[in-house]
Amino acid sequence: MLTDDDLEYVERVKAGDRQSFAKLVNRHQDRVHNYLMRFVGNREDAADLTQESFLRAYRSLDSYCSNTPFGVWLFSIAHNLACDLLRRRKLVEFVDINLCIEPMDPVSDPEWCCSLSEQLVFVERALATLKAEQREILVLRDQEGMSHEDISSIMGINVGTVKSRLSRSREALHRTYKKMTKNTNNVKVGCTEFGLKNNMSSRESENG
Amino acid sequence: MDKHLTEEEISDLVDNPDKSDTVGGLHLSECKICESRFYEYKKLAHMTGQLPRLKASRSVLGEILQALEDENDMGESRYSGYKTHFVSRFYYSAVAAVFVIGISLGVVISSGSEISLNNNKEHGFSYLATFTPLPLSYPCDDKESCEYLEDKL
Repeated sequence: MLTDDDLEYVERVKAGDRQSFAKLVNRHQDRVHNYLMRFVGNREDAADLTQESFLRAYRSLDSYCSNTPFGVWLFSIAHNLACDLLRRRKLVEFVDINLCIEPMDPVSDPEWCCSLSEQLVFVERALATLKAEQREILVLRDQEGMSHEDISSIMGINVGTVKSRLSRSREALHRTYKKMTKNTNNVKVGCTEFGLKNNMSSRESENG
Repeated sequence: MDKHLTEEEISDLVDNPDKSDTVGGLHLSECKICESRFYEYKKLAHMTGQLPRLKASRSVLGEILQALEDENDMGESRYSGYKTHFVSRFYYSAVAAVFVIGISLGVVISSGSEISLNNNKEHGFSYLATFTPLPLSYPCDDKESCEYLEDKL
């Protein structure tokens, strides 16, 4: 989590050097945005929350304790803000799948779709159908590569709960992924629509 | 084969590959079903890690710094506004108080001096003992007022 340099920058910001905060933003903004985007499932909300997370971090930098890596602390701020937003929209308990899939589904972007293998398209789609809390933990663990302890700090739950929630989320992703890959016809239509036809046919011709 | 591994045990093995010599790890080498699930979990975890990152807009940094600037400006103006507001309120209150006190004192002194003058002249005791409210404007050369005053005193 880039701890050492982060601490140095944090100290500089505390001493009044705002440029160091700009460096911290530069280092973490993509990771925070990616996490929030996949968690809340909406581009505008993710952008707003990213901005708000950094502002909150800046305002409460004095209360930051260096025992926790800055990245983990920042993610916990982002987590709290995202939970507040989802709670306001009552999406934490009752996830409306249509609301989640439609805005966040990057597969709908033809350029993005062409850059992915078919398997990753399935994974992306399967991930988008999961509950917000399941997506969150999978992104933190498998995409950000965070430890169970760090996830526990971010989400404010104990390590045992992290493990059980992670396993349930993996099982849910596995089930959805399997369902999707069984129905390959639908996916072929989807990929053709999104411009994968050329990629697939070129690979087929290459294979003879 | 007693029973299959739970999803939590398999997930734990995905996160800790070095646990292959534990009971769960040994079970994997004997049970094809659990082994297959383990590899599927592992493959999915790996593919989730391969998903492209959805990058933040390049303007985020600018917006954050702008928001901080605005916040600073607002804080300063709020503080100076508070000071100005406070000073002006204090100033006007003080002026109003001085004005009211001045008028009251003026009235009391002017009427008191007239009364005490009359008292001293005719009765020789303090006007305070027989103080009667008088009209604010007390023209000394007004005949009716003088008679009224004499009656009262």
